[in-house]
Amino acid sequence: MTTLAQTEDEAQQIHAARLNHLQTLEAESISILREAVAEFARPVMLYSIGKDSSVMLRLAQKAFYPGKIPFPLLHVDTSYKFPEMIKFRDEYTREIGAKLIVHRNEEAIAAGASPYKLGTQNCCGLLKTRSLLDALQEGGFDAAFGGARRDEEKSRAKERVYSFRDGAGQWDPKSQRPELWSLYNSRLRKGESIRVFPLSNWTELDVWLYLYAEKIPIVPLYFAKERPIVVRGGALTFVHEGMKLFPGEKVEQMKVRMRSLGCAPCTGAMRSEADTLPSIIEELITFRRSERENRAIDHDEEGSMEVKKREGYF
Amino acid sequence: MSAQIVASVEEVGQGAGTVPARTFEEFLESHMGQEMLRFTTAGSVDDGKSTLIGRLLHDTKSVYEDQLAAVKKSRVNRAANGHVDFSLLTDGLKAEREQGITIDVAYRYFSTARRKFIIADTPGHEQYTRNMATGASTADVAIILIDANAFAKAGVLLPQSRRHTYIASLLGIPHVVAAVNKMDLVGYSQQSFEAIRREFDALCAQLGLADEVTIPVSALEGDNVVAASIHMPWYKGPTLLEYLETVPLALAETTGPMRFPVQLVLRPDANFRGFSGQVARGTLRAGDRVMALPSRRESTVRRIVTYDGDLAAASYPQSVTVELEDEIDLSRGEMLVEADAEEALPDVSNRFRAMVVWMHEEPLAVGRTYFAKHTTRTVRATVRKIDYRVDVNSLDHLPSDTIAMNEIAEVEFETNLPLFFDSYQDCRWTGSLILIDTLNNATVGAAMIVEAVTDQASAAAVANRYVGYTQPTDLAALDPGVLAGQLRSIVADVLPALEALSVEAAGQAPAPGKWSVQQTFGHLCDSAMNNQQRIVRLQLQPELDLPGYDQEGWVRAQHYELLPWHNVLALWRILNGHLAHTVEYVDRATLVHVWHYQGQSLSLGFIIEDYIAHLEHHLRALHLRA
Ligand SMILES: Nc1nc2c(ncn2[C@@H]2O[C@H](COP(=O)(O)OP(=O)(O)OP(=O)(O)O)[C@@H](O)[C@H]2O)c(=O)[nH]1
Ligand SMILES: [Mg+2]
Repeated sequence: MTTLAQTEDEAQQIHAARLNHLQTLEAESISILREAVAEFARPVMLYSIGKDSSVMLRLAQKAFYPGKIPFPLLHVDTSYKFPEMIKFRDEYTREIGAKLIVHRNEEAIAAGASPYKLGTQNCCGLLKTRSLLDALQEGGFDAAFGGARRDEEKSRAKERVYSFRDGAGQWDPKSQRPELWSLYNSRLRKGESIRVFPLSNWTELDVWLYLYAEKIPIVPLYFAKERPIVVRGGALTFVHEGMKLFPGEKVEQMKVRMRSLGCAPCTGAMRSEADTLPSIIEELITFRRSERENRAIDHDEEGSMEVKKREGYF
Repeated sequence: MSAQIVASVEEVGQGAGTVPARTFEEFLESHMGQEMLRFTTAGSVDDGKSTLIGRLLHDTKSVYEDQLAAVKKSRVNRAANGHVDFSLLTDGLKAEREQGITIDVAYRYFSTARRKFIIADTPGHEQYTRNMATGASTADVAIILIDANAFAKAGVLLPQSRRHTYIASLLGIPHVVAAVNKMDLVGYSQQSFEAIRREFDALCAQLGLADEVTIPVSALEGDNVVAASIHMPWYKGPTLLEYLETVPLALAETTGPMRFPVQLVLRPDANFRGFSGQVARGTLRAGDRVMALPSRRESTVRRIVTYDGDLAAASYPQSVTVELEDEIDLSRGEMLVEADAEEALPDVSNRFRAMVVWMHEEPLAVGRTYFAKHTTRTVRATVRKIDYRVDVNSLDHLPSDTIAMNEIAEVEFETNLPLFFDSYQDCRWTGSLILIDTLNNATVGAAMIVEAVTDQASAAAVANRYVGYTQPTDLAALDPGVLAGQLRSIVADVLPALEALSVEAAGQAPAPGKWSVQQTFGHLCDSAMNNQQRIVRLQLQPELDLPGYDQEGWVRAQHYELLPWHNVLALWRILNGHLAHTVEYVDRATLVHVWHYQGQSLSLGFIIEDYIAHLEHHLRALHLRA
């Protein structure tokens, strides 16, 4: 299949026509978003307010331009999100004119579900997984876009772009549908659904480069700043409004940032001087630890992410 | 922001031999301008594919400390000589770690100063061939691993190595490199390597794989993966990474006639109607004359619209939205191609043969119908014939009625709606399709189109119900206006003779039990009434399930023999006049719509032609026409 350029001119033309890697990824993601909108009856986008969601949202704007995004955004609010995240969510979605659905497992929240009481796994199970599955069912959504990337974690490296979920919302890693070329199988029976991951092939570095190149706004928590911190379970925990301190805990001021955004009690901060996108990118390429390292949930047991994914967590 | 980061950029293992970026801005620039290469691993179980990928990631410093620490801590370790088990970096599923095999594709990512790479690490186990094909379908390069130690014992390439090399060639992966692994176990012997190279060269020659390179490596010890081996001074070629960084990217899709399958019609308001899609091959330019398939309507590209502003041109694989100068009928599943280039058109046909990799426990069988998804179009495809099954060891062609899981065969399909395609060899995107089970929705097969079926054997069987009539060769070339004209002139031609016919002659049966002329014209009225229904309905819906009609019964039930002859004739003339009027204004785009009748899918174009042929058949039988 190799065709060689016959002339210098032709070679140059071909070179000019070839897209760079960010353009290639963008084109692929836009195509995935459009395909799903064409084929599913009721798609929804899971919007986590994080950097990956921000990229995914911009890609959706691009995919349907000059039209508006033709599906709602769904935020599963555990009630433990940083206040900065909620503020950003409300302002930004209003600004771009997107429809936002916020879903909370009010019953569990009222019963006082917390990572301290239940442990991170059970807490996630109730406030995230259960809540997400309920929200998808209530909305009758047959497809949900998620911002997960294969480079995040090794069980995610195994996931298809169209990730099939059975009637109970569960993932069976051993019997995934073969996914060849860019031909995605969207056929479902009643009750089944598909998670669609348009950012599957993006790396963390790609996401930051794209945020920078496209000037996409993100939650300020990603940028280093002097913040009140306690050291809890070895992690730097950001002391936010309404947070209770345990006996003996001492609040210190530190210049920190968040590398990924989850729930406040379970997302550790990292010491950093990086307060602009280029400096974050610079830090990232010299940094030798993965982005999920500061998330408590991935460390509960070996293969814990796979267990959560089977149950329906993203 | 302009901090000097020379040291850190090098530390990330940005490949050898390039000048490091001087400032951070320069680094960003160069990094964003990088091109992307996708490669896949393939080979027999335990050849060391996952270990090789782990080694590649590790030696290019693409593994985070915490991930490496987790691997070192793991309870499982299958690596010899106290080495870290690098396969655990990609074997991410619990079942994989427990069984020590790869089950499903793992996608991993890394970059050097030269390129960004997407790796698909695939399973070697035969049971998971479908996952190997998944990983290989998008690859620019296939790394076929061959276990030097296993070869030394067996004296031949393992069947699975042959199968995977064959699948790589079928999937049209532009470059194939053999990594002869576990050289540490054969004493880094040049002789062992040469013996394997000869075998592999022979296999590639048999498969017609021209561009092929062989590299001796040890994934475990790290020889010739990223760094050149100190154990094999006799090897003068590139290391695996050097090869991956420099192999030229194939250009087949960036050149060649343009293909733009329509994914979505965007209509945000009354003033804008755009066709969204990804350029599947070639380049689309504002101002270009384009043709829509299947309607063959032409227009000009007014704008190429994107969120970032209009483009003068869009090339493979860009995702864009196209606005046309004219309001032509075009929807999802249809395609824009270059106008004025008849020879550059894709095939438009509902019959083709394709190489199929079967992926399901329930075998493919002749006569079965599956959904086929091709570009943005999903149709029903029926297996007409299995031309042959391939024996992956000998590559011989064997006769077969079914295709079992993991088998490969050439199969002839007939679809209910035509597809617009190229051969897979010419264009991966417009030559590939997946097959989906119509009941359980599983993806059961992958197909690569070889060619359109042009021998008219089975189409003719449908068409030749009437003497002298043949199936339209090209639906897209049918002109409803011309057909309407034909019908009117036939009626005008025979009408004088019929009007002159006496009532007795019209009412007389030529033999007991046979229709009289009057009854035959009654039947022709029924034909007109029934086809009027089909032709109208098929313009309003793409698929139609409608019963046929019992010809003898209809003539009996309506007692045509009791009517005055001239009433029957007048009815026949009026019905045909109205039918011709209807046909004249049929929207060409609907000519491909189909009526499902007795297991056949008859297109509207066929039905109109067939109606006229049927009429002529009866007129000839009555000696009214030559
Ligand atoms: N001595 C030696 N052993 C190796 C080498 N490469 C891999 N191995 C060992 O071979 C075994 C299989 O390695 P894997 O990487 O899991 O093989 P694989 O090809 O990925 O296997 P599947 O994915 O299940 O098909 C492991 O025990 C590895 O440690 C090598 O270069 N030398
Ligand atoms: Mg493996």
